Amino acid sequence: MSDAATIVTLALIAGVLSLDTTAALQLMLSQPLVAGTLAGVAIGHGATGLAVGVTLQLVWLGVLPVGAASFPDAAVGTVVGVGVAALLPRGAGGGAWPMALGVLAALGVGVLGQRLVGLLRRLNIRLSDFASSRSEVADASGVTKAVALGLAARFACGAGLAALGLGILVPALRAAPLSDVRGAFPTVLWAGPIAAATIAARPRAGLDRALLAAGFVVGWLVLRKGL
Amino acid sequence: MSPNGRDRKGNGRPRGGERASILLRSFLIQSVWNPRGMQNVGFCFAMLPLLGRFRGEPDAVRDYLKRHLQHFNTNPTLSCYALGAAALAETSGDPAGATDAKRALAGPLGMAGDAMMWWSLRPLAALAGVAAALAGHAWGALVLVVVYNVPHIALRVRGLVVGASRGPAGAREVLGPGSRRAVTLIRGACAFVAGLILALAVGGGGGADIKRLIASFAFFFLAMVALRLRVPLTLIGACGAVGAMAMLVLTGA
Repeated sequence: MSDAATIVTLALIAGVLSLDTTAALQLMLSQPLVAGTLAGVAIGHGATGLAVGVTLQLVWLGVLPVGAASFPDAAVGTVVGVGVAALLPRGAGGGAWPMALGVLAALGVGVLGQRLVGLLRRLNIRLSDFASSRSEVADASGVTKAVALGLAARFACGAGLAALGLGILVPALRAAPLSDVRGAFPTVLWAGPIAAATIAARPRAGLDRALLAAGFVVGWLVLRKGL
Repeated sequence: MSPNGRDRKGNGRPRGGERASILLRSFLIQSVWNPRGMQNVGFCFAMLPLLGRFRGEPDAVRDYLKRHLQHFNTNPTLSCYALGAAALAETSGDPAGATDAKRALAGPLGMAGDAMMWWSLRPLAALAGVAAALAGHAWGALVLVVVYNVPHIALRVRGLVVGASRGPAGAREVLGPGSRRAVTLIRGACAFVAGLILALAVGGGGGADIKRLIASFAFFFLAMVALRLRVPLTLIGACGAVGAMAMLVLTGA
C-alpha cells in the first residue's frame, strides 16, 4: 500500500471512529486499544497498531467523555499514532523508535482534536437553532437534517485532522535527524504507564487496594508459572 | 381514542416498532451536543418515531417538536429510561407528563450513569483489554468492546422497555442502592485488573524475577504518592507516554 493510500485509509477510519467518541454509538470503538488495533489491521501493521493502542490506552485511561467535559480526541490521535509508527522507516533499532514517535504524535494530535471538538460543539448551537426554527413551522425534517449535519461535521473533523496530521508529520519525521537519541530511555520510566493504569483504577478504599494487591499477586504467579 | 381525540393505538403505550426505532436512534442522542441545549436535538430525533401519531395536526406536531427540543442532558446509556418514560407519557395523551419525566430524570440518571458507565465500567473494560493484550493476546480490543457493550446495550434495551411501561418510576432500578453496589463491585474489579496489569507490565519484558518484583512495588509506591499529592493528570499522562515509549524500546516491540 502506498503512503497516500495508507493516509487516505487511516483518515477514513479516523473519521468513523471519531463519531464513536460521543456523537454516535459510543460502543468504545474509539478507545485507543480498539482504534489502534483496527487502524493497524487495516493497513497491514496489526502488531504496531496493538502496541501503540495499548500504550495510549494506559496513558488515556483517565480521560472520560462525561457531559460537557473537554478531553483529548483519543480516536484520531491513536489512528495518527499508528500511521506514524507504520510509515516511518524501521532503521537499526527495529520498530520501537517509530512506535515511540507515533505515541508522541498521538498525544499532540489528541490535544488538537480536543480544541476542534470544542469549536464543533459551539457550531452545533447553530444546528440546534436551525432545528428549532423548523419546528416553528411543524417541520420535523429540520431535526433529522441537524443530526445528519452534526454527524457529517464530526466525521469531517476526524478525517481531516488525521489526514493533515499524517500528511505533515510523516514527511517531517522522516527528514528529522533523530538517530542519535534512539534508545536513550532508562528502565525506571516504566513507572509511567503503570502509574497511569493504577491511578485510572482509583483504588482509594481499603478493599480496592487489597484487590489491587491480589490482582498483582495473581498476575505475578501467572508469569512465574508461565501461563 | 384519547381524551383529546387523537387515535392512540397500542393501549396508550409505544408500539414495538416505535420502541425499536427510539432505541436505535438513542445511539445518536449526542450527535448535535451543544453547550446550550446539550442533548436536545438528539433527544428530539430519538422521539421522532412517535410523530406519526400526530399526522395531519400541524399544531400538535409543532408543540411536540418544541417540547422535545428543550434543554436535556443525561448519561447517554441511561437516557433510554427518560426516552421510554417520555414516550409513555406522549402515547398516553399526557404531553406535560413527558416534559416532567425528562426534567425529573435527567439529573439523577446523569449522576448514576456517569458513576456506573464512565467511572466504573469503561475503566474496567479498558483495563481488561490491556491486561489481555499485555498477556500476549491479540484480541485485547475485542475484550474491551465485549466487556463494555454487553451491559451497555442491555441497559439501553432495559431502560427503554421499563421506561415505556412504568414511566419515570421505572428508573428507580438504576437509581437505588443496587446500582451503588454494582458500582462498588465494578470498581473493586478495576483495582484487581490494575494489579494484574502491574504484574504483567513489569514482568512482561522477560519473565518474573525478584528485581522486577522490587521495582514494581517501587512503581506502585510512586503511583500512590502521585495520588496523594494530586499530581495533575496531564503530568501523569506525559509520564505514562514516556514510560510507555521506554517499555516499547526496551522490549524491542
